[in-house]
Amino acid sequence: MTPGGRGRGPGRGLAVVLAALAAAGVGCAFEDQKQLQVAARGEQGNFATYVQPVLATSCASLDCHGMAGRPLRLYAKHGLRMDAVLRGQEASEAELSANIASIAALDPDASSLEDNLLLLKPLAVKAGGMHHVGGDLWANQADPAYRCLHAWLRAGASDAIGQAVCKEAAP
Amino acid sequence: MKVVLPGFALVAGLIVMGLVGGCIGDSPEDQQAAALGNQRDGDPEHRPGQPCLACHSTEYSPGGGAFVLAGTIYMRAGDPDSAGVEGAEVIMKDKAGHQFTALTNRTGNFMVTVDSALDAPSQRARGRLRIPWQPVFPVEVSVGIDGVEKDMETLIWREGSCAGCHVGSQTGTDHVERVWFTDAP
Ligand code: HEC
Ligand code: HEC
Repeated sequence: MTPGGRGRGPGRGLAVVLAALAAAGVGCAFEDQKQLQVAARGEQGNFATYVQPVLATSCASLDCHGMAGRPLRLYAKHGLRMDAVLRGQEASEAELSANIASIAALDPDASSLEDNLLLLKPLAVKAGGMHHVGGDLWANQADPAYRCLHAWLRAGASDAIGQAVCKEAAP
Repeated sequence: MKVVLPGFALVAGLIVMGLVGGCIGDSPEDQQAAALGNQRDGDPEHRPGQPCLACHSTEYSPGGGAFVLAGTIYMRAGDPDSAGVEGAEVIMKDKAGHQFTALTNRTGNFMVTVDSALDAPSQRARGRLRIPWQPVFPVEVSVGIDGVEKDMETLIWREGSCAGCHVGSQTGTDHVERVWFTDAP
């Protein structure tokens, strides 16, 4: 864990239990756990329309998360492809599902939505983010891309505001 | 720092094809350098088409000079690796707004080096461009020759070698083809 990173000691076991309950569909007492549901259910329609363009623009290039070996591995139009003939075309259903699965696997134990590595890594260290080899992409939590991914983790980018910020992040 | 290029699978393929001369070192960088073979090392026209920064980066530079951006430009997609095009312009613009242009040398190679003693970009010989600032990524790039211009739509976020992504004459799942200008024979 890098210095200044969040602690994950005692809370971790609880988070795993909650995650298991949420995955098993046993209620959802904690707002935080919705992120797991979103990933589990896929929410592919909204993902393709609102989230994939943001990832394609600023995360999924061949020299960043479009590399097979990265923990967060993303397929995209001009990035990594499942089949070379797809190059230049929008991400396929299978690629979108793989992107969602990769996001879900990135930080399943995050204790809160804001604590998910998907949001912490690109966020500037000064604004509470974590060191990211790809640099500080978002100066603070007001960045439209931050808000877009947050809206998706929270509720599948199903609300009008979430959808608007996603469009703003990847016009 | 581990260097893993998208074209690595191709490089690994070269090993299998027995094009490797010499020994394989221990680190991933040594292994990659060895896999790229031993070709007339030591001059700016060597190794066209290869990922220059694999051996010329600030982190690992058995090649001596450290480049921030470098690569090879071709006239046609199907040209042999060794036959890049001379005199092509490679126009780069970084996130800080610095724009600089390199000209390719006889094998189509160009390389950009940072020299903070300079006031402005300086092209000494064809191929070699020195700039006064460390470029800030992402970098926009386009190429031109004889009035033909091609822009890269997406950005270079980290990879300083064009051949980190532009490999060979065909696109693949993890790379695109070499940078070229025309379909004409
Ligand atoms: C596999 C490793 C490797 C790759 C890839 C490679 N080089 Fe080199 N390069 C070397 C070595 C080794 C030398 C000789 C260093 C010495 O003599 O100290 C060298 C020397 C050079 C020199 C002269 C030294 C200097 O800094 O002025 C230039 C210029 C150069 N290379 C350019 C390139 C360019 C351009 C590319 C990509 C098209 C490239 N190299 C790719 C290994 C490599
Ligand atoms: C991170 C991977 C990556 C790197 C590094 C990279 N490119 Fe590209 N390049 C691409 C991709 C993907 C495309 C196709 C989509 C596009 O146009 O952005 C492309 C397209 C291009 C095109 C347009 C090709 C055409 O036929 O329209 C040019 C020109 C180009 N690149 C030049 C360069 C040069 C010069 C360098 C080195 C300074 C470079 N690229 C480095 C990924 C990369």
